[in-house]
Amino acid sequence: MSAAGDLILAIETSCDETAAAVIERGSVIRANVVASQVDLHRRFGGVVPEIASRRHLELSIPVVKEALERAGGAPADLAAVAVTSGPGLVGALLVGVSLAKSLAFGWGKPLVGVNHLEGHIYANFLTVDEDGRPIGDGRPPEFPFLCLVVSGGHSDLIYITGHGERRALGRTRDDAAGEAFDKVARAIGLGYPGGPLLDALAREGGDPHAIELPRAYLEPGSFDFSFSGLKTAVVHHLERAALAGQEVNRADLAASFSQAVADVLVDKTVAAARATGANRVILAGGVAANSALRLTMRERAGREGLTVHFPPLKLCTDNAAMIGSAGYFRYMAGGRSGLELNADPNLALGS
Amino acid sequence: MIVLGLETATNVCGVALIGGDRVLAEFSTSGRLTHSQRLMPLVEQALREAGVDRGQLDGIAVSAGPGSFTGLRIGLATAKGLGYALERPVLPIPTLDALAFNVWAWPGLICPLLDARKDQVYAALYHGAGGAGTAGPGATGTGGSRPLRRLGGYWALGLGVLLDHLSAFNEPILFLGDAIPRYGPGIRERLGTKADFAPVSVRFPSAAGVAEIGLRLLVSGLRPEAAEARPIYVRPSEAEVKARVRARARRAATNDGSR
Ligand SMILES: [Zn+2]
Repeated sequence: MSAAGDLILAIETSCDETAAAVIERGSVIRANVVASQVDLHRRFGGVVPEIASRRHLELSIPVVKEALERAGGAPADLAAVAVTSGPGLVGALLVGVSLAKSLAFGWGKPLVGVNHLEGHIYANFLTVDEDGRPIGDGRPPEFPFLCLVVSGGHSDLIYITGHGERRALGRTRDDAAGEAFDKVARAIGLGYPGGPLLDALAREGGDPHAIELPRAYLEPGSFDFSFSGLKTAVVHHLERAALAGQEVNRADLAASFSQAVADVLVDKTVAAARATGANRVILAGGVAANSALRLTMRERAGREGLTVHFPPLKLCTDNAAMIGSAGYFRYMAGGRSGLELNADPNLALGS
Repeated sequence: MIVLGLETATNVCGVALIGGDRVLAEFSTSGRLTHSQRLMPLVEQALREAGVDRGQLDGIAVSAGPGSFTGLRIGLATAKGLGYALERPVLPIPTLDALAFNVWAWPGLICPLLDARKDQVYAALYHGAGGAGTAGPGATGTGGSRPLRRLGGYWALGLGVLLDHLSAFNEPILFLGDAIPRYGPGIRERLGTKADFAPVSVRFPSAAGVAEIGLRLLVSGLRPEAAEARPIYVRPSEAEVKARVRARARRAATNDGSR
């Protein structure tokens, strides 16, 4: 393997993906292994924390082993072990944190706890994939930039001026964007995971302007989000149609809902870019894979003269590669965690 | 041979090092800090104070349950990580076995009880080694995989059902475990003087006991791999129970419809 000091083994178990990765210099993916539990949770219609935790414990060593094998390296070559310590499901996080601590101690390597959201942001800093090909234009985004993190647990607007230098501008006041997608998908009668299924349905010729749905902007100047009203409006639309005995065009509803979410996210992101003077926008998190959001963001950014950076779809959803990138930059800045590191389900994105 | 023992199945967080015929270090706490925060620092401290390098460990024994689901996973994940990193075997030790081992010389039946919440206890039943005709756990023939003879499996059940079962035995029964404060009076009322309770100092699972059972397993030639170590949950998760109930209801409904 490469010279010691630039390889990080990363572990991520914050929700329903058991993942391990080996990352070089925070940017080159040497191995990225994700064991998804989606099939396991599908029959329950969502992630069941106890079942997720049990599965993490079974899968974590095999996943770490595979990541090291694929990277073609020995543990001795690692600079550090990085692990997601929060936010997420506490029982799920604890498996990864306990494993990472004992691995680091067993190998005699430093330990670096990483915030899951920070990981999503750093998915944009991965520039070379597992096969040695460049990701996107093969360059990390330049500071400063505005980052929109949208996932099942978060909708955050963050202004980032350097590694570890950031300012939170806004967040969701109720449902996260991804949560709204999941709930609406369930209301429409789609399975789990709701987000990707709803996106697929919307793309089956759904008209994004067919059904009028509310867009919540909150008080002027606010960069916070609220999606619960929109979710309720969809439910009411379905209920009214059922009462009237009318068939609902589900593709239209899915497309209209996706567009309403995308409009608010994009409007607020553009407004925040103007307010901070940032001319680059970075998307992160599972909802960054949504096609309406991608399309709307590209269009608006083009008109506003903003550069947009998206991680590839595979790196938008939960993975350990992004934790390895964030962990590397934290490690290079002297970040270390002690063996008393705990899982924190509500870990805030500090500076 | 040196074995590290980890105990996190109840609210006791314990770490012990056992080597040859000595306990080299043992720490136990049931304070307010979580097992997650305490366990690895205690492992580091135990090794340091015993003057043992982590590379000198021959195996890692871990209390495998039943017990607190979260506690078990902290212990198991820690044991697996250490075992994998150090390339050493990981020995999952049934928590109820380790509890019974604390009082192995009792001349009757031993019944460890752990609070399983939802008005249930985790329990198992053992023949104590102090009775007539049985040898102590150190004696030939019993020092292998099972230090004490267990009668039946590991159970999660209501106290009433357990006591119905126990009332059939005509031997003194020693109870221990963290469920005693809650269920002790009920046991005494039902079984009278046939029931006895272990002293508090040996009532809880101990990491040294876990380590010693692990050491015996290593001596007997067992070398289980880190990746294979599994907790003994005994109970399925709540969601699985509900899913099964739903599936049964669906099947019942379909059967009715076909009639
Ligand atoms: Zn995520």
